[in-house]
Amino acid sequence: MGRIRLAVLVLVALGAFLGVSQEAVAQSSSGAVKANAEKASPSFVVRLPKPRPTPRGPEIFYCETADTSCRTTQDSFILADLRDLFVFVVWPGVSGQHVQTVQFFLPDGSTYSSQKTQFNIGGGAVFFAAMAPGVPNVVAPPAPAGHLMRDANKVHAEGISSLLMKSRGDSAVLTVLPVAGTYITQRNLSGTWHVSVLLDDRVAFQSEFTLVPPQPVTAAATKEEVEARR
Amino acid sequence: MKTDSRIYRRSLGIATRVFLVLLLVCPPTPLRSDEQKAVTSTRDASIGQAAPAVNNGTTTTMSTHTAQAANQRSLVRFDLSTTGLNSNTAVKTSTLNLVPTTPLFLSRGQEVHRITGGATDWTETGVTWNSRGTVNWTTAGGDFDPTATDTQPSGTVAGTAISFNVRGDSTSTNVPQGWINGTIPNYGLLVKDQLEDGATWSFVRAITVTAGANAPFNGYNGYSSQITGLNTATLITNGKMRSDCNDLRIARFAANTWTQLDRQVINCNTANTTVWFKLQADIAANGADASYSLFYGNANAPAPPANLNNVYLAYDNFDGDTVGQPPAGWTVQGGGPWNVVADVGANRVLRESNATTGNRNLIYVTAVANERDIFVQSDVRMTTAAGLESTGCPVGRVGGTTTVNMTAYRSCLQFITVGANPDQRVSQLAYWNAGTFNSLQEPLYAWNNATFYTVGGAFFGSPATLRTYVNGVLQAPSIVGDGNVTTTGSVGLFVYDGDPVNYDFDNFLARRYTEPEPTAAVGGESANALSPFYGTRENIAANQPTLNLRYLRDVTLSAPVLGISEITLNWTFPSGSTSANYDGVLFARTPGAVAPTFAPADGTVYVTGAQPIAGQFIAPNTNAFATVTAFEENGDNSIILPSTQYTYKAYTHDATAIAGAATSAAPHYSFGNTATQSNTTVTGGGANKNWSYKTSATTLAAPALDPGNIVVTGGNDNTLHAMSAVNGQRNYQPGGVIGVTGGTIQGRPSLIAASDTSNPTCKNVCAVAYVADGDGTVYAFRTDTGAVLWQTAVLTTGAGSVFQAAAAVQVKAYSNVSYVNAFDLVIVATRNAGSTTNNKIYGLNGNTGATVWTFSPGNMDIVSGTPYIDYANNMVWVSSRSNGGVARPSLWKISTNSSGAAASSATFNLGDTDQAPTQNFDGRVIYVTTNGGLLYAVRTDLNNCAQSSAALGVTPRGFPVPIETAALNDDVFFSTATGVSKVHVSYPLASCSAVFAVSPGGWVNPAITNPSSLIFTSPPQTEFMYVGSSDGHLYKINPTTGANVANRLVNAGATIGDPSFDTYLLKFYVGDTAGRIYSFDLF
Repeated sequence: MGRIRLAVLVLVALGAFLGVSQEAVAQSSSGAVKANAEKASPSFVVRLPKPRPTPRGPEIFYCETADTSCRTTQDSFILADLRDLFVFVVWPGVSGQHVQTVQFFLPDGSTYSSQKTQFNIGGGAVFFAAMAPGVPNVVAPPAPAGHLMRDANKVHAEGISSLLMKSRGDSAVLTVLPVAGTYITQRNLSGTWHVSVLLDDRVAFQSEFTLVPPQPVTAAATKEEVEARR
Repeated sequence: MKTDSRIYRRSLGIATRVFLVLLLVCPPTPLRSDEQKAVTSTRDASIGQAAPAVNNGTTTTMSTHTAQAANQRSLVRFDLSTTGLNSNTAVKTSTLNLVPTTPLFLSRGQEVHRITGGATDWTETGVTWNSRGTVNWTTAGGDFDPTATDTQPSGTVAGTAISFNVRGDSTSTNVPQGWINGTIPNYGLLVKDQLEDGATWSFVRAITVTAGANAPFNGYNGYSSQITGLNTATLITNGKMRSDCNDLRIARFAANTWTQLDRQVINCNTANTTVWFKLQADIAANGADASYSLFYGNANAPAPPANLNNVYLAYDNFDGDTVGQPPAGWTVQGGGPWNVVADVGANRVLRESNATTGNRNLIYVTAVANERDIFVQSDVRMTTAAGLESTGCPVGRVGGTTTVNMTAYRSCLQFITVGANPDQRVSQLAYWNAGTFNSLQEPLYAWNNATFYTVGGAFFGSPATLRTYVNGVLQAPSIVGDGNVTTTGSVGLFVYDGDPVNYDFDNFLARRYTEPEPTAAVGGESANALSPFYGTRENIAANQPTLNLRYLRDVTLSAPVLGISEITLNWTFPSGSTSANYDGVLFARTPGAVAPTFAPADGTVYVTGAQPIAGQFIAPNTNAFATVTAFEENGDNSIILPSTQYTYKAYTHDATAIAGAATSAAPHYSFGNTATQSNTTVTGGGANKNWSYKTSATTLAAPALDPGNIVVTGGNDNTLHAMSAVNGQRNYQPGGVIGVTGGTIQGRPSLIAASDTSNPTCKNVCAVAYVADGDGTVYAFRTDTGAVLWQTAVLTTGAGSVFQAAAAVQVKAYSNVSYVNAFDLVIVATRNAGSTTNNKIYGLNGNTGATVWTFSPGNMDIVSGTPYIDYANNMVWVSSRSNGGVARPSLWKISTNSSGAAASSATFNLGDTDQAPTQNFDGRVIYVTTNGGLLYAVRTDLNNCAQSSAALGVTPRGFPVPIETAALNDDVFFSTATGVSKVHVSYPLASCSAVFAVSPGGWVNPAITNPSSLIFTSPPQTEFMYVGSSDGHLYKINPTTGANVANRLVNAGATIGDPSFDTYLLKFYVGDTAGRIYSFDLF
């Protein structure tokens, strides 16, 4: 549901006005075609305007594997069964050099971690260019060195080859949240986590997922494990 | 497609509704634009150069004027002492607002200066061009700073304030601040023309236009009115007007705005000059309009507006049209060709030259379409041929689309047979009505061939009165009451070409017409070019001069809430201010009793943790008027220590630009001088924490210790924090590469004291912390400065892979002689994403980070638990997962003396294991708990000996802690998902036959919610076990009974991490999910 909600919000923010204007364009185009057809000769060719692509906002989806083909609306996971949570953020229409930040917030609201990933997508319109803020004079503590940030474009020879992937034709940036064996399982940090996604340090959208706590281990289950070993 | 359309429309509807809801839920953020106060003037006056001893202080207006030896200036003063503002008000800008009464009809520059001078102010009833009132100005005309604070156009609009920025001049960058502070005498401001000594219109005469009883069709708005009989010759002779009359202007003042009009001056420099202009508003029948004025007397006047198409309905002399084609703006209705041709010199005329006789040829003005009452006029030139009819006419009420359905009245010169008399020269009035032609009158007029005659026709009223004029002379009789053409139409020219040669037209003019025509009476001459403003005595307050100040005041600090490592600041915004005024408060802090000297720069944003001046810290910076409290605490970006005094200074700030301020960009800050406060934190200890330290993300691993000296912790904020064990003060501020890693630090950093490390840089100088983090690399940091000693390349495999387990270090100084390395050995194990087989274990040179050996068995699953080093045998034990089964090893034993490609000394298939292994006191047993709920005892002294307990029925957490109870007997404690378990293990010396006893000796598992790993206090302290919980507490457990004997509330609502115990200071250190590190006394 979290993913659905964010999609609606993004559509509202980006599509409310564009959608209306497109309908108006469509209606006026339709009217023009009809008028021309009534008075045109049979050989008269009417050229329809090319349909404008509907601007789509960023989207997030969560997977138990590192393959974007897992793209579903699943946002609830059994903690005991989850080795890593693969968080894909899809950036339709985004191009150029950007920094994605995925902030994970615990169910109690505390910041669990914040993972920055720089990525570079070639070609296409810069969807977020208009959102780029003006840069005021800022006096601040030194920021972490840039070279310490993850580079999604880096290609690895083994394992997961890159954090920059394609999902249904759009570029997606992968953030891995290790779960198994971490304090998430050791301390049962289950419940509904909140996620904020930032692009170039501006909040793009928010989402959430749920980690379902494990069932207590029973002696019988452990016995089965022991016997399996014998 | 229909489905798509419905979905689209439904989505659009939803989106629109949600958007509207958002608009309701999220009202626009108010502008937070500092504070503003409009101060009304207390006195003003005009001083005039032409009457230098005359006082004008009691009038309701004041003026500026530019004229040779007759300049005027305005003086105005504002009493800021009544505003309640004082030197602690940070004035950003001030704006002088003057409301013009009747401004110039052409805008002029006016400038504002600060009045200067000695100790004597000017008086309103005494000030003159020469005198302040009691003493003379040093310089006649007023003493003022030579640099204008601002120059603005006077505008041509009355009633709308002109705003002058009053901020800086040659001696002060902030004049109003100086006035308020008392550092600059407040003698007010002087307003003057930017270019004095005469360069504008000196005279004005009112024009009153009076209409008759018969309004023309379409009314008087657009009617061409004329001033006749103006004696410009005398004005020119008297030096009041230029000899070319180019300074003669017509302007209308309406809706508080001057509009200069195009005009045509005929017979300039004569006693009978005519001035044409177009009326701009309708006039009622027999009514009058006095909104027009005539100006003159400006030797430097630029070219006047004289577009005759703006004086008349239509005018064309064809000189600007292209030869060889119809003139621009005309439409040929029939016949022709109608082409512009060159005439004498540069003159061009419109020629009809149809070679076929007997045709009707008509051209009309495209832009005129709906005129009924009209006067049309044109110069007409024709030649004649005996026996052939020739006619040339201006026409009005032109309608129809062709020559056969044309409709018009015409006034003509004609060569025609009249009755029995052929070849008569006449003037003519005639009409067409839907193509039907009739001549109405043809009086004789002896015009000559090839000669221009000015032919005019007046067609007005319904039924119409028709008059024809030749060279200005009415050709009688006129036609009255003609009803043949009642429609409206255009104006144009007509030719009936009997002689197929040329019909030429020039200087076509059409204007609206009625009888009687309105008259334009010119009033008497008066001096002009005053630019009057409303003054202090103006009875409408909104018109009085004001000085609008924009400023910020300080907050009032109220009692703080003092903590141990935190201070909560409280304040109230300035009285009377609202969220429209302030965006928040910036705090600066210094240790001690002296307030910061830091002064924030406008236009600069300050972020908490910065030190714009060494030792002066940026403390909280809020961004909401609703926020009246700020919490700051000790951490990596703030130093708040127990029992320590700090002094704060608070600066309010806005969020909008201030035009005209020294820095227009937001934010702007107050001075902070009245918002300082010294606070002393309280002392911790006992049941309370000793101190705390805030990081930026969850930190649950046990803090590493150099007992009594340093506490080091890594966190999910990708930072290694080092702080004083005594009070929590940071050793360094992380940033850049200082203390910063590329990924989360989930494990406990390995901290090697300066005395123990082999690292040559830090040996006996600094402690070294080794960190394996979420970017797959390993770091060695100095803990005194946070500097990186070395960092490896990425050792994990594939994108998204990390180090989860902490780095283990075999310290050379603690190792036995069998340890072959000359350095501390750092051992790390990977947690690779997306694979269960490719994990590795590395042995790294602690001095350089170079890889000493790599263990890569090809079937190793992820490692989460910290490797355990068996110093006695120089072995490292590493637990791992095994892909959910027991077909693969999950406990690995490797020699730390390996090199290159390491091999395992032993492996054990125990099942998935996330918990770290631990060695017992006598070194014979490695204990490890599996995820499935088994406790294993693995013998170090016996080959292939791993024995498990029975199924425990619990989910183990953390690492097991073995406590030797007797030789070959251990009590093994470990956390579980719900509490703490205790298992007694006895193991024979030489056989692999351990015996496990669960919950021995009356032990009752204490219920602890999501417990942390365990830690024991050791002798000489009484031995107790301590464990953190997700309920915010640190619990003390009796290791014999399992009784929960005491606790400390660390942080309610947070999950408390793995504790550490400082045996030197007898303090606990523990982190939590909120990202804090705490120190508590032993309890």
